[in-house]
Amino acid sequence: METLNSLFYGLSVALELPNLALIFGGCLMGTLIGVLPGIGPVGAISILLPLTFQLPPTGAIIMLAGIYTGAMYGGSTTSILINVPGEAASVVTCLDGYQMARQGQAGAALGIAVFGSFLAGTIGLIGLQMIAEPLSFLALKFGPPEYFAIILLGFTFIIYLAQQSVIKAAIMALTGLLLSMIGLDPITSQPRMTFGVINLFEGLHVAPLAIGLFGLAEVLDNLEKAAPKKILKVKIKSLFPRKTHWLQAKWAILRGTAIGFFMGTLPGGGPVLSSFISYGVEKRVSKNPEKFGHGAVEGVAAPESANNAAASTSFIPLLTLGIPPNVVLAVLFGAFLIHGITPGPLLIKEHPEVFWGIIGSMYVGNVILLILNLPLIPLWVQVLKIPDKILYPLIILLCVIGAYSINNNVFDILIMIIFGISGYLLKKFAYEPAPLILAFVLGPMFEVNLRRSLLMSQGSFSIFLERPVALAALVFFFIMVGLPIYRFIRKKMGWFPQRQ
Amino acid sequence: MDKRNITSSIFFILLAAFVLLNSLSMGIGSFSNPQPGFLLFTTSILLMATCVMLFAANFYHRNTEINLAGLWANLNWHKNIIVLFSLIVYTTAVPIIGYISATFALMAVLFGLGEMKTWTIIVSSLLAVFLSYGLFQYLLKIPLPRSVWAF
Repeated sequence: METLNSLFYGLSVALELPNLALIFGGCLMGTLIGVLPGIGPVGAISILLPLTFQLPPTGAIIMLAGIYTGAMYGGSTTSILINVPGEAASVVTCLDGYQMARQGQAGAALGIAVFGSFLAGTIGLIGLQMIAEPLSFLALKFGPPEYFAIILLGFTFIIYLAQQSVIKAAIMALTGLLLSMIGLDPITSQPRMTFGVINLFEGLHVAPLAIGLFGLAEVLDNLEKAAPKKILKVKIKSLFPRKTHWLQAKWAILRGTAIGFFMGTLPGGGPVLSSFISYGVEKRVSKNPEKFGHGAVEGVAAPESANNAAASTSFIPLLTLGIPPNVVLAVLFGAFLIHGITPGPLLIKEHPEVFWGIIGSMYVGNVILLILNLPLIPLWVQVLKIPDKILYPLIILLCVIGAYSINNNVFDILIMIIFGISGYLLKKFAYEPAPLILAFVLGPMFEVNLRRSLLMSQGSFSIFLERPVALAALVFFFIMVGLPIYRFIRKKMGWFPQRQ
Repeated sequence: MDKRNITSSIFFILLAAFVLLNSLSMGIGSFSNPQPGFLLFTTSILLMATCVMLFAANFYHRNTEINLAGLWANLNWHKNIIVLFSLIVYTTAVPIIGYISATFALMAVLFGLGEMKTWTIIVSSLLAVFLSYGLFQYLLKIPLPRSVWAF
């Protein structure tokens, strides 16, 4: 009953006229970002962060949350209509969505994607609302050893769930951790890796890093390819899927939602991975797996439901433990801090209007996106026709302003350029930048909690074994680290004899 | 041999070695009293070990052959050089000549890469500069860089 009252409170915050306008604006911008290939939600939230500086914290955060959910909805449009995913979580939607469009079923594909996203997003939100509050109260009992062990496990998930090479993801995470230590030491205030540059004393900010790695790098990567966009000339007859589509998609939507719900809460999981897993599961359980890749409606319904459910539940670890589980929420974590709010177990007590306001705004945002998406699809198709030669210079300009406005300092533009070049090279060398950003954001928390734990125990590691939560997290950590190392050595080096 | 992995692992080994040396000068401390260099030291050792594993695995793996030159083959990489060069010049110029002039020049270069007509480049650049200036400076009250002559 108390949760229901809190939800009504959240809805009342979200439905205040200025906040409603911000949710609407956020959803609209997010959908636009999701529609436009070349810039994903991470870059978008970082670039658009300055737009929120003059807003009250609640309004700022709910607008950014609106951008995130909007991008998840919008990504499917480009996947279905031009076979180019607007953002990474919609990559897998291309496989069947584009084929459906080629077969004259673009409307049905877009409709299933939007309705599936709405259902999954709403179910995810119910989960968020039910789990977040009790978990927050539990997290209040956590001390440095628990936090250290949970973040360590989080690092392992980030590496383990990498989409490409696990070892390269580990290199990225360790590099992110090193970058997080630039600046004054959090305990002794001694400068570290600053090389006398005063601008580095406060450390690097997550926004110029994210803008560089996900905004500028993405533009550089697309600019050199210069392939013209081929937009399928389709006549969208009806955006409402037929009964046969619903019958085919209903279980895919539910399975996608369940996968997304679970994966969203895992560090390193989130919308991208859940969309891939749900597609794989759907193909495996299907009686006609050969249909996949040739326009199967389940191939659109499952990943789109999964990525939206994950987008909702990924807020659970951020709001309750203060641990961002994916790279978008890592940037959002930075946004919380800019607005003077620290996400974590105390958030619900100290800033209930923000905590419940976010949840309320996401319900409202889901409804807005459902209403907004279907009639606006023809508009998004027109937006897709904006030539790259106009679009990319404008994205670069937004990157520059976004980086500068964090501290009103040109030095941050330089940092953004350096990380833009790094992101471009990382892509060339097949490294994922997401683990780097996540480790960068989690780094300071990780270090402080490790050092505090060691100071508390006077250097004894037994402190991590005496506390049940820390012990459980460490057991998982050792299993997860041990298994791939064993497999890697066995496979690559042949140090162990192969079984006959 | 995947030369991408060989090259990148060498780069990260050198980076880790550099951080390791710096961490030693900061002081590592002990488990009971960890100093500022403690986690830098540990992380750089781990990074080095991971990179050595990547290097070794690729060095002995001869099945795949990926050359670095192939990564830039048939691509308009010169456009990226122009973009990056203009951005670096922009960061140097913007505190001196201010947002409006510097951004106009930057946008003219960027729009120019799209091989548009001269008047389109000028009009698009002016529009981009004044719309962004109006939005951020006046509407969102975000102070944009001024020139040394304070405009």
